[in-house]
Amino acid sequence: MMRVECKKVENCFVSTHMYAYYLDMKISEEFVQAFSAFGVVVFHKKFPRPFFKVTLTNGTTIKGVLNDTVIKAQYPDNDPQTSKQVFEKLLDELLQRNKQMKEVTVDYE
Amino acid sequence: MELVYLNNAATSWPKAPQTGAAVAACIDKVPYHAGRSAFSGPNTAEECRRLLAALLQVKEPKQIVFGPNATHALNVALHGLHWKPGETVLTTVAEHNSVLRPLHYLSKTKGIKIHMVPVDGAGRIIPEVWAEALEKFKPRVAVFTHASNVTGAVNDAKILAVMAKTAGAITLLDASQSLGVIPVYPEEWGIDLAAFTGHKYLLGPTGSGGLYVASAMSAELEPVWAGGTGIQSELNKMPSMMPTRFEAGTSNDCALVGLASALRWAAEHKVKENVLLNMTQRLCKGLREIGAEIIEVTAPRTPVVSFRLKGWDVEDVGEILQKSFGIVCRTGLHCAPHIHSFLGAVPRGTVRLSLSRFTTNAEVDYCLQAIGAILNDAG
Repeated sequence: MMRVECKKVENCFVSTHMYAYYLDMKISEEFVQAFSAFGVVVFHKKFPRPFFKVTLTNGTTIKGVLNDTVIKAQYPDNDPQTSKQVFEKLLDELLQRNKQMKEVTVDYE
Repeated sequence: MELVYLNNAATSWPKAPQTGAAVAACIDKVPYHAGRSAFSGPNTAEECRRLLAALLQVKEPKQIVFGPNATHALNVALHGLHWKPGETVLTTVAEHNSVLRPLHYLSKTKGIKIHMVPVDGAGRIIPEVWAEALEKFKPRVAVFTHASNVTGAVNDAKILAVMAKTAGAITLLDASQSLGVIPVYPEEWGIDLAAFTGHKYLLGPTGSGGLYVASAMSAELEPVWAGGTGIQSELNKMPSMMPTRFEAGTSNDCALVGLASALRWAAEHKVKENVLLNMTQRLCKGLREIGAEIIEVTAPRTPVVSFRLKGWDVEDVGEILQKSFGIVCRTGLHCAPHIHSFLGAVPRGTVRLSLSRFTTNAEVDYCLQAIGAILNDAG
C-alpha cells in the first residue's frame, strides 16, 4: 500500500481536481521517466530546477520539479475520483519499484 | 536560488522596516488595553487611527473603524445597511469576492438586486457606462473597486463617486488595492464608506484593516457585531459613539501597533509613484518583447501586471516560476471571477505579478529572463 501524504490543492481556478503528494524521497529523473510507459513525459531541463509534466492517457496530468519531494496531480473533470484511484495505484507501483531498485543497488555496493 | 517575491497584491513582503519588531514588542509588553484597565499607557489603537486619518486626509480619526481586513470592513458596510427587498446595488465585474459574495448573500437573504457594469479591456470602469447604469437602475448603493486586483487599472474614484452621489446612491469604495500606493481621499471625494486593508500596500501585518465611515453615515449604518466595548457596559446595545459603535470585542492591538509602525515609516519614506510606475512599465515592456500576452493597462495603475504565455497553462507557468526559479506570483482567477471574460482570460485566468516599493530592477529583469526561458523551452 502507498504511504504517501496526499492533500487537496486549493487554488484559484475553476473546477480543479488537484492533489499534492508528499513523497518520502527526492524525485529523480528515472522515477519520472517510469511514467513514460503510461503517458507522455516532458522535461524542461534548462530551468534552474528542472520541471517535468506527465500527461497520462486518461487525461491526468502530473507535474513537479526534480529533487523535490512533492508532485501534483490534476485529474480530468469527468470522473476525477476514478482517475485519482488509477493514479494512486500507479504511483504506489512505481514507488515500490523504485524502492526495490534502490535496495538492489544497495545489495551490490 | 534567492526568493523573488512578486505577490504584493495578495500581501506585501517585505513589510515596512521595524514592523515585525513592533508586533513582537507589543505581544511581550504588559497590555495596557486603553480604557479597560486601571493603569495607563500608550493608546496604540488611537495612534494608528490618527496616522490613518492623516493618510486618508480624514478630519476626524474616529470615523475610521478597525477590523481584521478589508473583507470584514466590506461586510460591516454591506450588512450594516438596512435593506428592503428589491433595493438595488450597482457594482462592477471587476470586483473581488470580498464584495461579490456579501452581495450575493444579501440577494438571497434580503432580496436585493445586483447589477454589474462591464469594464474595458484593461479592467477599468468606463465612466459613461457607469453613468448610464446609475440612471437606469437608480441604485441605493454603488460599490466599486479603486484598483483592479487583476490588472492594476485604477479607476477615477472621485468622478465615479460624484456620479453615484448625484444619482442618490450611497458610495462604498474598495481601496484594498490602492491605499498605500496611490492617494485615497474618501472624505474629499465625497465617498460614504471606504474599506481598506493594512497588509498590502500599507506594508503592515495581516489582521489589520478598516472602514472609513463618513459622518453622515455613522447613524444610518447599523453595527453588524455587538459585544463588549469597555465603555457604557450598562447598555444592552452597542454605544452610539464612533468608532466604538462598530468595534465590538477586543481589538488586535499587536496588528494595529505593527500597522502604526508601518504607517510612520511610510510617512517618512513616501512612495515614489513614478519609480513604481517606471518599474511596472519596464516589466510590461519586457514581457511584450519576449512575446507574453499581457493585459495592457495605461496609467494610472498600481504595480500589478497580468499575463499569459501562448502554449502554456497559467497554473504551470506559476508553478515553474515559483518552484524552478524561486519567483512567487499568483495564478488563476485571483478571487475576481467576473472580470476575466472582459480581459479575454477565461477560463484559466492569468499569471499575476505584483511589485512593491521594495522590488528592484534586478528582480524584474530576473523575472523577465525566467519567463523568456519558459517561452523558449518547449521541453
